[in-house]
Amino acid sequence: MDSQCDRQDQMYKPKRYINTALCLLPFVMLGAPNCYPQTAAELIEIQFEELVSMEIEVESAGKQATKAFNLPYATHVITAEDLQRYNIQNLPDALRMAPGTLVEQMGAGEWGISIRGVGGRFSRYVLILLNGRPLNNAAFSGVNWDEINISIQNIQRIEVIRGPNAAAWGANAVNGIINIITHRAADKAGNKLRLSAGEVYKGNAEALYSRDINQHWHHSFSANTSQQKGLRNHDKTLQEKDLKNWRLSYIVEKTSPSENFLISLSHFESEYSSYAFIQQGPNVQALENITEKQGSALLANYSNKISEVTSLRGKISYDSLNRDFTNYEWDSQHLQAEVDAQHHYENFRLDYGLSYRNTEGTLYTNADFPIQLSENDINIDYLGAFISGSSDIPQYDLSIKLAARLDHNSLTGSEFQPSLRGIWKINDSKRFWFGLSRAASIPSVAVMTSRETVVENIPRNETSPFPIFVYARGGDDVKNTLVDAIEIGFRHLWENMNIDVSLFHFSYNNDIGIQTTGTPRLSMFPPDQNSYLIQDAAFVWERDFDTKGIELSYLGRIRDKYTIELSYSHSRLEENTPGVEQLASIQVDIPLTEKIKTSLWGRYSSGNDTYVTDEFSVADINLHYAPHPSLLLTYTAKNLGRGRYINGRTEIFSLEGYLIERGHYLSLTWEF
Amino acid sequence: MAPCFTFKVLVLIPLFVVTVASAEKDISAHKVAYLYYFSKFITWPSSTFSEQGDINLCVGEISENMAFQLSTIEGKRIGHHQLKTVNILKNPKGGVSNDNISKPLLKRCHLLYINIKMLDWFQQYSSELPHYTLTVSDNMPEENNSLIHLHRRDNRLSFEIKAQLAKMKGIKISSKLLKLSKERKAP
Repeated sequence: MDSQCDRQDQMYKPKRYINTALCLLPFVMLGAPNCYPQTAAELIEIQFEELVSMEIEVESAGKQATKAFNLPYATHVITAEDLQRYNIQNLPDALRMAPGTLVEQMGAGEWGISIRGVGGRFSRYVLILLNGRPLNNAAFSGVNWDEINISIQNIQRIEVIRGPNAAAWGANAVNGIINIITHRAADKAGNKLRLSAGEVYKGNAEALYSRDINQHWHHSFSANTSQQKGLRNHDKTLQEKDLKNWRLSYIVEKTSPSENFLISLSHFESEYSSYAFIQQGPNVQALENITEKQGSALLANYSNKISEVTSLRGKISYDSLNRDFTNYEWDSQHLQAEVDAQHHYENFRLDYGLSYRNTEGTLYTNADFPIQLSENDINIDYLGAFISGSSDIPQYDLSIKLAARLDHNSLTGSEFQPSLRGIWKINDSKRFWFGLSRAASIPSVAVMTSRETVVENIPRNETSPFPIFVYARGGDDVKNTLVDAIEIGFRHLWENMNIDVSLFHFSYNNDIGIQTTGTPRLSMFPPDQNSYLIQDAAFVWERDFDTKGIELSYLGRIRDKYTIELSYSHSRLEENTPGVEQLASIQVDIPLTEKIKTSLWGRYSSGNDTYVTDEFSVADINLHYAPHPSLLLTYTAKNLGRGRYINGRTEIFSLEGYLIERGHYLSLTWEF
Repeated sequence: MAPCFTFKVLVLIPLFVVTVASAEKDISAHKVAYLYYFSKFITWPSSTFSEQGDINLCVGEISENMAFQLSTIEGKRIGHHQLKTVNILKNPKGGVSNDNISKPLLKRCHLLYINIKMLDWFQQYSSELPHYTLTVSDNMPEENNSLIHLHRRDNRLSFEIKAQLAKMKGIKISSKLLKLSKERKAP
């Protein structure tokens, strides 16, 4: 059939469109054989990784570089091509592509990323890594995404691993890990310049330059600056200041057949504002919290293939951040060192490693800040050791991996985190995998050392003539939250498509809850119009709950020309568990001519916890025009459909939600 | 709204399963697409380019379909260069023999595509190729002198690279290409 169609194409080219139309009809009806002529010129429009088909190696899962298809984990890789295709301007927006991943934007400079539920600004169940360096902060939990303002052009790929990975990475790798991997200097990523301007992104500029110093040494330099529109509240009476930031990064790298050595340096500055909750007597109001940050990071990586069967890897990183807010000051420094070794013995692979991390810092809050701490200094030591054995059992087409990690930190003590994973290679194109694991998440310092935190305020009402403020303090019996996870998955690869399905059931133990103590008391006696009621409470680590769900992703190429990528997740969350029941994303790539392409991206959510994000159904349209092979002009219309909506709210810190809006922008990318 | 959307998703997927799974792959088109990508992700020394700056993709006796597919990528720009297909046979229908091979054309090859019809000649005369020529063997016994071995594996087209040998020849292979390949050891 194929060859017949080819012959038809060569003989009757003028009739190509008629032929196409005839082929389309049964295709639309029930899926006909591929009559459309397939040429190499059309195929080269497809990215090479896709052509080779799911052969992308993922290095974050279990710290073992393995082809995505053969991983006993639910995995999604966002490539540099994806970022370009959807004209992505910041990291959190890129993560909206990953199945089961909820991206909340609370302000121009604030985001919360969660996987498989339990979201929010301070979600502590996803470990975020930049080239293997953890970015989660110990003071409040969560991640300050404005501090990861790396150039999108400098990203090689983002690996999103859903499910626990604590046996390899340690604490907080509970619901998933996200590892952002930048181009190495030796990657020959090329020299690029991208300029973007429009309504949402008022002015972004990124430059990436790389070159070889000699045969073994390479270096690269990237610089970027951006200005992103501040969000407004519902009635548009409050407007945040724009997020303005810049970053410079430099990498020098030595490569040889057995050794690799890399040093990376970066510095950033960032400023924006958000509206924070403050309490003054019985009154609460929104204070414009102007934020200025600056930070530097140093990373050194070394790997050595000592022999055919043994490899060693070492990593040292240090970062220092100064954050100046209107109503608090927060500085932090992190030092991390780790060393891993790998051995292969025929069908057996052994990995083991040690890691050390120290977090130091200070956190000073003004009197009207909703969190008051009993200690202002932060100093935490983390020690971890892991061991992992993987074995192939060829007679049963099975691979089994048993791993365990022992973590100790100076705040909450020790935790043992085991994991058993396996993959059954049913045949060349089908895989079934499973995972049983335990992972731990460490509570934030702000919660543990809270002297009083306003966790709730209830205005005057019919039953209370005084407003009520609930103040919680840190408990004595601080525990890590433990999660026991069961996961199974199946993936099937065809010539031009693949499907990946995974199911999970997580049981959370010792999560943070709030328990009131005693009865409300008056702030002053005798009471006057400035009095309010104080309800004492304590943070307790006694909440147990379950989440379960299914995730499905599909990638298909129709007639090797159009690409469709679908992801859908459905989670069943217990009451008061922040998260989203249903998340879906559809991405369609349609080449119109040799120089013009369009990429459509629809996103949908429903069954949302009211505190998290509004339900939404929005779409982005990207139109690409390449007047020259080295030039690309992209027009993007963003968040079409829903208009303005709340995409997340900052717990405790914020009185109301700030809405993201539709907008459009234009980008010019030049490769030279 | 939500169940309706779920329903649509669930209905759409099997439709695509049926549709796309039935599509057969034109293997010549894929081979040529791979050749294009090899030339894109490999860097030759600047001294190997003529004034025109073409990347010369050399072929010998090939099928009509392969020739057609090569014509679809003729002249494609790769960085500052253009991809050009060069048939190294003096008489394209005269078979592959050392007498029928144009030595001046051979000296200009950046890539040489070797199929089973060229195997004997290649085994005997590979030393006549310029040192920078990247040889791509197609579906041949693995033990040959080519730098890249293209073959069908697990129902997919795969390739393996002798990275060390390429390095010795001064050919730089991007890490992206190396990651997507399986490394071969030089014999």
